Amino acid sequence: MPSYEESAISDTEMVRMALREQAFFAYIINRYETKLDRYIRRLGVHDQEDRVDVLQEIFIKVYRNLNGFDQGLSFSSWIYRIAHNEAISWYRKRNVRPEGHLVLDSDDVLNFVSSKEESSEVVFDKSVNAEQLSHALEQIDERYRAVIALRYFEHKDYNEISDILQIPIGSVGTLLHRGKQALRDVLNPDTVRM
Amino acid sequence: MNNKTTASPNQSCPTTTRSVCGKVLEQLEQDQVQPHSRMYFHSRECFVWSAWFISIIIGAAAVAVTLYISFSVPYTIYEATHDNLLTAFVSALPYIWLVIFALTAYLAIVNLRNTRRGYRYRTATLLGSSIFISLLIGVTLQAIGHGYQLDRTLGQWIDAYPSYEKQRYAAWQNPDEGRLIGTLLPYENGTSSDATSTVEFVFADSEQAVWQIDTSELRQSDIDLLFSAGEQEVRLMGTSTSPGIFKICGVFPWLPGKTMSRDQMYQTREAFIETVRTHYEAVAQVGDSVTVVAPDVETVMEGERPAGDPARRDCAHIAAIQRAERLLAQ
Repeated sequence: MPSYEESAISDTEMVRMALREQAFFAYIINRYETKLDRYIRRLGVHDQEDRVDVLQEIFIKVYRNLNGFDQGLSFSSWIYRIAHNEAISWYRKRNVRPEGHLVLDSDDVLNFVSSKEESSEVVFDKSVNAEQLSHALEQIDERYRAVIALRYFEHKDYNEISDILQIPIGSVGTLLHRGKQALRDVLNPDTVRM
Repeated sequence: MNNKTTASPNQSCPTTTRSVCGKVLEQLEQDQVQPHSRMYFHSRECFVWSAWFISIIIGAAAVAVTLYISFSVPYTIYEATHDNLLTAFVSALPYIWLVIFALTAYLAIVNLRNTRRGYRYRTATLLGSSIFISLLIGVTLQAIGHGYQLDRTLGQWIDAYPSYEKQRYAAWQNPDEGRLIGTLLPYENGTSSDATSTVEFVFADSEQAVWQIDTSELRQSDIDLLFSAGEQEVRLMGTSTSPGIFKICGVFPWLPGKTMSRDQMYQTREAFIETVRTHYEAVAQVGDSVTVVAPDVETVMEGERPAGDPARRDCAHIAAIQRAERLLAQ
């Protein structure tokens, strides 16, 4: 079995390798496990054991569908799409509302509150802290939470978000705008000003 | 996880994430999971596009039939069968096809959404493009006469399908309301060896009932049309004056599927108005005792005829003429 310099291999090449030999699929898991674990956690799969189950399902689904990967898209968007759908279906199967225990650090919050690109009218006060923001994000619609998580905490661009959530690019901006408006309504009015 | 590692796949699951990586590889091996073939995804994509294409074609058929029917509404002689132009148009509209068109537009959107890149476009874009393509194909189909052919063929294949031709035919085969459709047949009165034999004419309607026809109030141009039709079907507007006898007040050709040009429509309309005017003026000349404009239809139906020349008044009191007379009276 040959050895490879893992980080030098592109996603597309990894897919080709995994299709040739199943064991190479480990490279894909290695590259994306942590990212997807963090993402599904932000979407509401909070329990560690549940996340392991969901991740397992995600990667098995990814493997089954490797030939369906559209090379016109980025592999990252494609795998995030599968992760997103799997997380959503996981908590729908359990008939529970996702708990948005977002894992936010101070950089995430700073990045979020200082962003003005989608809505010049909505300005968040710099005093919003991670806990307040997490709590507010738990309370908004799941569509808004997903798009905010992808944009501000996963640092995806509009095209990638469009590919992951399978929505028109124009809708990404709309959802972000509405999501931030919804957050404004949830957060203490003292911390937000129009 | 972009740490630089040099490892064979079997040892490539790092310790920190071995629980997921190891489990996944183990399950893949244990369940002998294999990726779906490329053909599977290709077939799925083909299926979705085919379903979209079928939706578009059915939508185009709906457009073609709708256009054919819209153009075929008897705008030129609508008074013969309807109270006004609006009711003529509304009763002709192919509601089944309009519903089918709406359904196919919806299905086209659903199918496009399920193509690989379909999600990138707004619903309005998908809807607009699908409708546009259906319209384009539908207009083309109608332009080459397929709207009529499709409607007619479906009507022949499916008894329950109310093709426009069937509807128009049924509307004109209604002697109680003064409408007949059928063929003029020569009828030899006597034997061929009989020197006194004469050839008269009877009219066989679409239900094969035979009528003696009375052409005493018919204009010459209508008589010419009636007798020149040969074996072709014609429509008669008139009234049944007694059992088995039909007094003809107007004759119209039966041309299913033929789209009239603007000039032809204008000429047909003029001829119809002229027919109505002839009957209107004929009665007016007989005497003031006849109420020509909007007379009591029920009275006529009950046989209480107004005074005047009995041979020249039946046509003036049939419903179709009365409806058209309102135009003249305005």
